[in-house]
Amino acid sequence: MKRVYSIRTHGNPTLALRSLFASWLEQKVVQALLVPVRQAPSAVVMQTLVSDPEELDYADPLAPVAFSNAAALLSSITHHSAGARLGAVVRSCDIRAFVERIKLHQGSRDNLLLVGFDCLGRFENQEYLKLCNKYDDLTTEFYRAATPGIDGIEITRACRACVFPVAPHADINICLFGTNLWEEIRLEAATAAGVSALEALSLPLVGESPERGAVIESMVSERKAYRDALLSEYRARAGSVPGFVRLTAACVNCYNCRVACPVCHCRECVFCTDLFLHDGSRLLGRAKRHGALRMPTDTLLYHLTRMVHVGALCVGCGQCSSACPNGVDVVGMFLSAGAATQGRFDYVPGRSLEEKQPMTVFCEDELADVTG
Amino acid sequence: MSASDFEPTIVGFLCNWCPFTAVDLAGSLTRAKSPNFRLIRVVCSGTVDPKFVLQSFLEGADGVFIGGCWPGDCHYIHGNLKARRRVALLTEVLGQVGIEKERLWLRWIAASESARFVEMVEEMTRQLRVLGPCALARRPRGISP
Ligand code: SF4
Ligand code: SF4
Repeated sequence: MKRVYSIRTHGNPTLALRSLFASWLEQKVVQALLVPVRQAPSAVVMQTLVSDPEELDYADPLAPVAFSNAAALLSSITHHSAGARLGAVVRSCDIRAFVERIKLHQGSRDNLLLVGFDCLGRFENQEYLKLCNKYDDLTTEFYRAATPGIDGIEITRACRACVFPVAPHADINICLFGTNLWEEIRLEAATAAGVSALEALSLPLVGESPERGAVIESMVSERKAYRDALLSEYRARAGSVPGFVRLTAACVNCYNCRVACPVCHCRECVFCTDLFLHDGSRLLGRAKRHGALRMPTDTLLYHLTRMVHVGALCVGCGQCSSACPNGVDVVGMFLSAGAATQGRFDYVPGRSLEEKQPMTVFCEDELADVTG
Repeated sequence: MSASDFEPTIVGFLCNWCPFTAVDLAGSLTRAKSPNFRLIRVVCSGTVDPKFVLQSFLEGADGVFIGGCWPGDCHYIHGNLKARRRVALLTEVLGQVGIEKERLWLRWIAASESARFVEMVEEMTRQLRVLGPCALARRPRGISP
C-alpha cells in the first residue's frame, strides 16, 4: 500500500507545505484542515481548523513548538461527526494520545485524513517565544541547525527522551528525515485514503529516501540512551518517599498538569468534586491527627492517583511539565511510572487501535504472582 | 525504632461474600482479631478503588490486605480478577516511591478457610515487622498527605 510522492520545496519547506494544504482545500480533498498556524501578530503557534485556503498564509506546520497536545482537539472535531471529511497535521505524540482517546470512545478515526510528520521535537513555550524575538523565521533556523537546538537552547527533555519520532497510524507521513529539505519533501501515503489524497494532486511518484531508515534508527538509539539516563537519574532523585515529597513540594494543586495531559480523560476529575472540598473542621481534625497539615492538601494522593489512572496510557509528550507553574518534574514522574506500568502489562500507548487498555481487560490465567 | 518493638498496622479490605464469611465463621472472628488488623468490609474485592489503598498508606497503614473470593466464586462474576489487575498496577505505582510489594497483599479466601486467613494475617504481620514502618505513613515531620 505504501506509496511515496515528492514535492519540491525551492528552499522553503513551510511554503511548499502551505501550498500542498491549500490544494487539498481547493480540491475538496478535505473540507477543513487542523494545522498549526501562527496567531499573527503574536509568534504563538496554535492548531487552527482552516477551511479557506487563503487562511493558510500563516500556517507554520513545522514550527518547533506545541502549546498543547492535539489529541483533545482531534477528539473534539471527531467525537460527534462534523458530517464532512476533515484533515489534521499533527505530531507522533498527538496521534498516539488520540489513539488512546479513540479506545475510550472520545474520538473517531472515521472521515479523518491524518497527516503526521517526522518530528524533531519542540521547545518549551517560553523559550520558543524568546527565540522568536531574535529570529524572524525560527522554523527554518531550527531545521538548518545540525542538532535540534538553537543558541544552546535544547528541545524539551520529553522530546529528547521520545523514541517515536515517526507518527504511527497516519494516512500520510511528511518525511523530513533523510532528504534535503531545501530541495524536496517526500510524502509517504500509508493507507488507501492517503494514496487518494495525494493522487488527487498528480504528484510525481518516487521511492522512499534511501537514508531515512538509517537516520530514524540512529535518532531512536540516541533517544533511548537519553531516556534511560533520564529514568535512572529520576529514580535516584525521586524513587523514595522523601525524594517524592521533595519532587512535589512546590505543587499548588492547580491541576494544570492534568488539564494539559491528553490522556487524562475523565469528564469530571474526582479531585475537583466535593470529596476533596474539605471544611474547616475536617481540616482541623486532620491537622490534629498528624500534628500538621500541608495546604493545599492531598497533593501526594493526587499524583499517586494520576499515576495509577493514566500512567499506563502516558505517551510522554511532556505537556504536563510544560504546563506546571512551579517547575515540578511531572514528566519525569510519568516517564518513570509509564515505563513501570506499561512494562508490567506489555502495553504501548498508541501502538495499536485494537489492543485493549490494560485496565479494561483481564484474563482468567494471568498475574499469578500477585496473589502470592 | 528497632524491629522488635515495632507493631505494624494493616488495613484489610475483605469481600463480604467468601472472605468475610471465613472470618465470621465459628467464632473465628475472635481468633482473627489481631491487634494489627483493621478490618473494612467491602461488597467485592473488585470495588476496592486504588485511592482507598493509597489513602490507607498515606493515613498510617504499614500494609494493606485485600481478601477476595477464589476465581470462579466471585459473586459478581469477575470482580476478583479485576482486583488482581488493579493490585498489579498499584504495586508498580507504589514501587515508584519505594514502597515494597510485600506491603500490599491480594489473597483469595474461601468461606471455609478461616484458619488459613488467620495464618495469612500472622505471616503478613511478621513480614511487616521485618520491613519496618512504611515511609509513606510516617513521612518527615510536617509533611501530611
Ligand atoms: S502524563 Fe504528561 S507526558 Fe504523559 S501523556 Fe500526560 S501530559 Fe503527556
Ligand atoms: S501543574 Fe504543577 S503545581 Fe499544578 S497540580 Fe500539576 S504538579 Fe502541581
